[in-house]
Amino acid sequence: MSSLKMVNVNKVYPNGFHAVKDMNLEVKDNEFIVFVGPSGCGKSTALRMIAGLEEISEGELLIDDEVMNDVSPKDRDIAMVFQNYALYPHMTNYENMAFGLKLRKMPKEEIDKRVSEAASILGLTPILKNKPKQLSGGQRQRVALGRAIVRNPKVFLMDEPLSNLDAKLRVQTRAEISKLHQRLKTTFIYVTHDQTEAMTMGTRIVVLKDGVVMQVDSPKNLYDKPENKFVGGFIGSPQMNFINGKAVERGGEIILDYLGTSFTIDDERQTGLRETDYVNKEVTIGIRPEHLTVEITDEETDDTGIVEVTELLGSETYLFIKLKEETIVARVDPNLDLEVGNQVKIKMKKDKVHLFDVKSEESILHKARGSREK
Amino acid sequence: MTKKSKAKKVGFYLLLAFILLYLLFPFYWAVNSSLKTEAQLQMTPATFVPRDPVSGDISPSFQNYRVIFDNQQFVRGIWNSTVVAASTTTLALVAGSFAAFALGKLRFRGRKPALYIILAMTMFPQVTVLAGLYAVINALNLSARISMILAYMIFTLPFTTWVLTSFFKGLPSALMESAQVDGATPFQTFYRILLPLTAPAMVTTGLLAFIAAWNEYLFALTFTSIDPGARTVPVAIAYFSGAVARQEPFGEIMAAAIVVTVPIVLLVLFFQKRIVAGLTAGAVKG
Repeated sequence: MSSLKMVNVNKVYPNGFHAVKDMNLEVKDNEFIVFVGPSGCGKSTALRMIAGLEEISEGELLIDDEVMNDVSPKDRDIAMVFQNYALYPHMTNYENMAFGLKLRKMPKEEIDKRVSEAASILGLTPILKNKPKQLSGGQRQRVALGRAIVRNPKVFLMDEPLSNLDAKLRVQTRAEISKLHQRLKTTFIYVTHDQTEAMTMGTRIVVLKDGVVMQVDSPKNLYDKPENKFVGGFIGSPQMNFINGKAVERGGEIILDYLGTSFTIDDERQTGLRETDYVNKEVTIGIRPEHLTVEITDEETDDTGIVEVTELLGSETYLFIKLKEETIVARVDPNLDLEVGNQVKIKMKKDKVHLFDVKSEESILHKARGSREK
Repeated sequence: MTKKSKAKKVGFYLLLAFILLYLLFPFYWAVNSSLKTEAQLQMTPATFVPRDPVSGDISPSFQNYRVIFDNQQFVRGIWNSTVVAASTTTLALVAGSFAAFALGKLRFRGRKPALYIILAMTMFPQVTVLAGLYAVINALNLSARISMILAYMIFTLPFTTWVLTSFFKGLPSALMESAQVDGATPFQTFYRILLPLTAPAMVTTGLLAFIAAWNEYLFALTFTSIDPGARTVPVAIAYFSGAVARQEPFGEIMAAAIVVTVPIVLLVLFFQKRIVAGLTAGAVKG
């Protein structure tokens, strides 16, 4: 059993840069946590603070309820996989994997057992005697994984381990790491800027922006219930469409006015807006491209737009539709015969509409849920 | 190929030939002279190979080599030089690599100034400290060999530190961090991970330090003035005297010069392959 806890952790560099702000996180045993965010969001810094490679400016880090702030990396019982592998070039792959165990004065037979076990899991047995420079990128990354596995640590830390691999290998190794996690039943903390990696691998995802945790949730909840506009836009590809609108009450129903047209929202959203007092206020409407339906129409009305660009991806087609002054992306069936210049009518799926506060960018539905819980 | 590039190529090889001649002719002349007897040396015009003064046949003589190896001062000088140069090199590499690791890989206050002071020291004119140092070693009653080793550090240490620092800086920090997470102490990280990777730089700087110490004359001459038994080879050669008074034993001096150069050439040839910095290949994606 191992747990990890970050309590109000801050990182301020000597030059004044505040890389991580009041980070709170509780990781349970056997979780696969992914830190994700755009570059410079503090995700790597957070990981390096857990590893002990970076000092914690403020706050506490606990592993198994023990404060780890001033414990050196080697005594934290963690293993780390680096972005550029960081293999020791003058050692064979066997020696690379055995290095940490040798330093801990483990008996030779035990080292041998652990290394050959890890090697067989990762398919490295035939190349144990080679040196890293003789290996391909994917093999090197697996040696680096092996070096972490043999240590049998409480927590695995991975800093963008796949970003140096080519696209095909990345998908393959992604699956391997997921399998490894199921097999080892240990806590993983994984840093990436790639939302696909985050969504496919993580049991829980921590979305960071400018050093602030935006949301910690399961992949499904991040997608379905983003707590703010940033998460809504960051998760999902192509990006969620954001349209400025206004919630108005007409005849007992709340209607969203946007781009000179309007539509009635479902009950859940109506109650949410009422409870949080957004009636007759400006809101940002968020709708994912896959939650739009598009129909060709001859008749020009307030809610028709013109297809500007089509991107055929094979399994789906992205449409860039000009609607008044906005461009809206829709993801549609490729069999829909749509061409540039077509006049189309766009409809939002009522139960998939997201609503955000214009200023704080907070999700209004999330706010409503929060106030209900209180 | 155009005419212009052909001319360029010819010019390049002409320049190359000139540089080679300029560098190698003195060495060739030393070899030539060392194989001549006193009588052959006096021949006019001078011959490009040792020739018999009467018949004009090629007749090299190893007389000079026999004489210098019978000369106790010279043989002792080689031994002294070996001890002094090897000790200087070892000390400079050990202390230099420690310093270079700290300067290249650790963060601490005053790192930049320290680096520039070290760089400034490599440009220091050594003559200025000679008299002062002589007084110091006399006062401390240090032996001439120890004095030479310590004095040579004045120029070898800043140089090795400076070169190794830039090399350490070039090693990926992730390697250090990885070793740290693996459980290595800072010294283990230095000794087991980074040091083996700096081998090419160590060999190169070590060789240069060795050559500098091996060739040094000024300090050696001063410090051994009271202890002739500690004379290094350059000093011993300078003290060569002819069989008769005022005679300059030119042939012997040339022979000695060749003997002294050979170990250096062999060292460089032996380490030639290691001087290629390519050991970090495979450490990180690059």
